[in-house]
Amino acid sequence: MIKAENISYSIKGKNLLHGISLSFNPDEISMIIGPNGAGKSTLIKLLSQQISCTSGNIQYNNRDMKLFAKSELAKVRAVLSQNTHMVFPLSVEEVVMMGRYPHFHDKPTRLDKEICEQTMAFFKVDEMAKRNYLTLSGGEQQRVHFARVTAQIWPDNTKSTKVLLLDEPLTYLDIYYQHEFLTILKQLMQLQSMVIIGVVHDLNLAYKFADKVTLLSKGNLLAHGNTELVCTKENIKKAFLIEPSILKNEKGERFLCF
Amino acid sequence: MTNKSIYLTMALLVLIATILSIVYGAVEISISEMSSALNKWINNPENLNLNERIFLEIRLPRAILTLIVGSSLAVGGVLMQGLFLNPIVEPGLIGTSSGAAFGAALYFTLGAVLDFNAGEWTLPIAACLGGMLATFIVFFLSESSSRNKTSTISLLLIGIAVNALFLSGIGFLSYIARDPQARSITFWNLGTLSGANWHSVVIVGLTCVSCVLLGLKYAKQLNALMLGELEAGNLGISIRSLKLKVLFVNVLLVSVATAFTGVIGFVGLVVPHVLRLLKGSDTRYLILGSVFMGALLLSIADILARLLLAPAELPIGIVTTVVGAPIFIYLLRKNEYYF
Repeated sequence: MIKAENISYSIKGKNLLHGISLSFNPDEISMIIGPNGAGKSTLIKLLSQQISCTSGNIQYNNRDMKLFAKSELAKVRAVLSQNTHMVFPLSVEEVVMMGRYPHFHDKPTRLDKEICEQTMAFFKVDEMAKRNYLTLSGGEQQRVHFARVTAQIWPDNTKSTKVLLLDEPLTYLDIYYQHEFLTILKQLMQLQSMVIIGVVHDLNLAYKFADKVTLLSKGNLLAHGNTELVCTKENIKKAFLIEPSILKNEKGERFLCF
Repeated sequence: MTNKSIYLTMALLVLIATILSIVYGAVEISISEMSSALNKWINNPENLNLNERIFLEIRLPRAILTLIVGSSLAVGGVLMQGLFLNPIVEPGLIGTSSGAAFGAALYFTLGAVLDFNAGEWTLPIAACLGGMLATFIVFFLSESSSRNKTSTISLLLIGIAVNALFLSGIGFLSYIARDPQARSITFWNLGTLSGANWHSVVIVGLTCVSCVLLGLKYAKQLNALMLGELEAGNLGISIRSLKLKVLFVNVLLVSVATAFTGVIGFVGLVVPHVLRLLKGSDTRYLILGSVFMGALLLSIADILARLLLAPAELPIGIVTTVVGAPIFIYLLRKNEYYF
């Protein structure tokens, strides 16, 4: 589990996050929502230790995150960023194999190769395994990175809790793949205890898939908890300044509509 | 084509080019003379005839030095392109070559005045120090300019500025130099392999082998860096320390090679490009491939440099550029290469 205590972050005299405290549990999909400039990306970067908090502390499994060696952290924590820009031609399977880099020393083991094949099949990029990554479309490239980060934190039968942090990763994906990806994550969580935290823009995606939602606004924590309790008309209006209607479909699933 | 067959093919071509470069020159040396010279060298180093001595003391060390320097420059190119995530970077771009050339120019013009003398090592040492000085100026300026974060862009821009500074330093030195000194500066700036001897072969060779081994050690991390600094960090790589280590390896490779041969351009740029077009960008493959292809390219260039105006000899830097530039442009235009 991940626990953040009173974390703040400021840069160049500008305060981006004002002392917020919250915790994320394993076996739940947590999503961070909020309007532009709310501090969503800052929070994800702090949680992944791409940046360090100005004050406060973050604990992974009851251990201060700063005590982890980078290489140690990389074995249990994967991050998927918004866009990954590559310059050099590499094949799809080479990119996916990078997810296994923290796990092997010099040459990939058979296990590493098997895991990559499996994740490539998961995200349906196995047929383009030999293709040049740079020739793929934006959505295809993103699926390659999904396969990569999934390979990085692939279940390994240990008791450690793995962490997956997603910084608006669904942006370029078709709806089919957005749903597919989140469904695959749920499958993975059955195999190993995992903390999954993602920033999303599409509030309905949060509504459909999130177990917990974190609502940020202007660097403050507005609400944090079960999806239905956080995504209320009042909270959404407070953060986004527009009041949504909440609709129900024939299956009883709820939707936000603006 | 598998990686192994690429290496084997290139190794074979390297062998052919090496034999040709030994055979042709002001005097032709036959294969039988080579084998008898090697025989005598092992059993009884006396009684060598003129051709055998030319083979053992001039052609052979020169051919071998050519191979090693070619490999060094090409591997340096791979390391720098990988580090800067930029396919147009070569070792010269961050000041290494111009710094080395400045060190050499300083030795040519002011060597006698400065009273620094280490015998035949004076020039290589001066060049090496110059190369290191320039590279580390670039690195530390770009470090301090971006608050402990080595931003690639600032490193590159400061590299350009420092390069210009050292080049104008060389310009100044050749302006105040007397005529023969100025000529040595010019000649050295264009690169030459004519000074090759067994000393230089050993020094450049040992440096090259150890740097290639180090480079291979960092290959996996350099691969991860292709995802960008952020993603590489997420894969557990400490970017700053990787940059320092790779920079150090590159400075060593390039300034030691440059110290003995002068500035030879384009090898470090063209070779990694061609290899990428052949079979992708895996750093391990690029480094090993560069060892062979760099050696091959420089060998061919050296044969041309000696044959084109025979019996006079062209500076090899001119040949590598004249050969390298059109190949480079052709490859960029012809093949699908995405930037």
